[in-house]
Amino acid sequence: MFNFREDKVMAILKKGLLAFLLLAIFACKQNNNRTDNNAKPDSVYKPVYANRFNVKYFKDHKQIEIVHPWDTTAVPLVTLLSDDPAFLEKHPSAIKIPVKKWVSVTSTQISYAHKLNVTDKLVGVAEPQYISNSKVKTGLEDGSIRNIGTAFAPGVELLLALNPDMMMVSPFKEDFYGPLRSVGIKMVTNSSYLENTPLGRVEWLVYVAAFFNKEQEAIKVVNEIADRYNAVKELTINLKDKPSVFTGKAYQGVWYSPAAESYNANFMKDAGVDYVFKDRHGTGSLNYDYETVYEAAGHADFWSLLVNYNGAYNYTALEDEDNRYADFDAFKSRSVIYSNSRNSMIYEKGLLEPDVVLSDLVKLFHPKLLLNYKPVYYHKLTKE
Amino acid sequence: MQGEVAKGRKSIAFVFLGILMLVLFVLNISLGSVYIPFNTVLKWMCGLAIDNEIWQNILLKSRLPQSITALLAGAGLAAGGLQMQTLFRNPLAGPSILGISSGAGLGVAIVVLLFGAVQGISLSALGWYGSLTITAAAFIGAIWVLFMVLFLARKLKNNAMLLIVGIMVGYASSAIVGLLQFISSKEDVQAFVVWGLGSFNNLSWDKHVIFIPMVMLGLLGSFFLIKPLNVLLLGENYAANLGLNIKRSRFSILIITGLLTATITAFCGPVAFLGLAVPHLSKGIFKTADHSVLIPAVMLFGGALALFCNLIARLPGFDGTLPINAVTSLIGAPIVISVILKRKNLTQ
Repeated sequence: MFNFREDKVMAILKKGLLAFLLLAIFACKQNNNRTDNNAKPDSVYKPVYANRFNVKYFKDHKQIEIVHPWDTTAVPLVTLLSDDPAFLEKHPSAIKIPVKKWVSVTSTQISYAHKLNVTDKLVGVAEPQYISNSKVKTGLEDGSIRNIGTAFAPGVELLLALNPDMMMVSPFKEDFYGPLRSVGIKMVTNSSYLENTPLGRVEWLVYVAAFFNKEQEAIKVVNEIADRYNAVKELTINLKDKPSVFTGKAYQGVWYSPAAESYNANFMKDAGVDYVFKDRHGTGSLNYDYETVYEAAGHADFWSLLVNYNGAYNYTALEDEDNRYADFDAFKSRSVIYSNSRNSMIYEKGLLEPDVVLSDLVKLFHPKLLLNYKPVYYHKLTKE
Repeated sequence: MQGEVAKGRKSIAFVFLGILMLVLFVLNISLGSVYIPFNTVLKWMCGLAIDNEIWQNILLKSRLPQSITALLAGAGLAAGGLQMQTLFRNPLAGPSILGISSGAGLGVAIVVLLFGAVQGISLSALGWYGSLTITAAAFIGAIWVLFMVLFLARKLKNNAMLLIVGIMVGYASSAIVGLLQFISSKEDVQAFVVWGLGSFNNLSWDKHVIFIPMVMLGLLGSFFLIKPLNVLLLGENYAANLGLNIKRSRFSILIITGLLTATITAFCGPVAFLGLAVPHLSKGIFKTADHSVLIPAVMLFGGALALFCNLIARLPGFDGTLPINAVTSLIGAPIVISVILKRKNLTQ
């Protein structure tokens, strides 16, 4: 009887010891990522336009910090990069650079990779049906790049076989990547789409470049784009008459519009227009019903549309979707501008050419500016 | 004497329901996310011109069609639900319980998702024809499930078993929808998900050209079913003895119910619980099983309840619109629970 109890006590003690050991190991592992937090970096890259990452440079490694995607007050996500064998041995979670084999899960990451000329280092992509990059398509055809499945349910076995140096993912609210992390796939988060400004998104090029030691090249590209973008923006700053603009369409009764501080609203602000919902603050999208939008935008000067239409978009097609669209002044005066994402490539190429997108908008909203410029992504809807 | 009292009570109830429906209809037109002074609304309703073009368009092209949609959808779903409850002799029969909504959903999923995946055609871009295709698909899907349930109803005498079969058919449809979603593009899945939330406010006048006649046909047709429905209450054997052609009655009831629920589900999405809850509420008020009272009663009550739900869905002072399904379910679920609590044995 007594012995039995002693066994029990021993078992509890053993369990406690085991738990303590596990905790200690875990703590060490956590520490591994932070050992150098106190050390002073040799230099720091603080983005000018982006708000959600920075790169710290130390003697034997780089440390990238990303603002937590859903809680900006939380501890930032830290990734260590190094080419020093001693450092890599000490920090097993660090990523060896320059990255020679990587996996991408979104087409936006491929846009960055294309700009940095590192698509040839890709060994796997998710959801290839959304990818239009010709090099990646060729790679998929000849088998040098593999299809890992969907972004939120990638094939674990294939990824283990590919053994990439890192896998770049988008932040999802739910962590789909637990199993991958537990088998040792090193993941890095690219939260560029959470940036609210066109130039902020462009600057994530430096983040991607850090993995390939191409930061200098990336910074140069970002600066060039920013210079051109700001030059176009300058054109509209002193304008007195700003045309009023609204965007989007009702979908099953809900009309989605960008909130005042969102990516698309910033484009409109920089294009020197008076966006009808410019005082509805936020960085996401506004869900209004038809009558709210109609009251705010019924007399607006322009209607800006992003459509996905098979063929040449026209006013008849727009009116067929909902005949109430014809009541808007912008429709009556034929002042609709649109980009057909089916062939304009605005999501893939436009991401890193915000200066061109902005020029399009300025040209279309202010016919007296940029007289000899020919729009690329956006066009005036002229076909009846 | 007692009969006359009951008759008087019924007349009062009818007048009350009628006025309630009318008031709710006017409220639906007067209240919305955009504030329009009540005087102006009254002026407009009297046919006088109002000088604000935007308000005029909102009243004529947004609120009026939406209110008519809610009214007709509520009346149609309630009438369909009542007929199904009598036909299947089951207090829980209704479009969403018997898998008919799932069938309509499957039809829409096949069209929206398969067209999207295989043909690369986005139905939302097809405009009027696109919505017509979706309606046809929902209709075929709903009728298909209805006939399957009917076929099984002949094999299964036990209503509880039939109910389980209906739910299983619903699960099977949902599974196929899930598979289709997995292989489809994000835009198409989004289109389907939004359809599934249900809404009274995506019917503009060009769609009403189809919606109003089809639902009116179903509602009028329901009045011709009063006699067979009343006889069916006695049980099929009795009904046959009384000279009712069971096969033909069943068929016409199913066609009318199918027409109503499929049309409404196709245009408004699967609107939950109205079809199930309203007949019980009406039976509670009128305390009768006579369909000559119940059919008009459920139509009035269904229309009023749908208008009420629509009003809540677009709470004044709130810019967006809540999914109508969230509202009808929140109101409908307690009613269904109370029915279950009252009837201790569902198989009878």
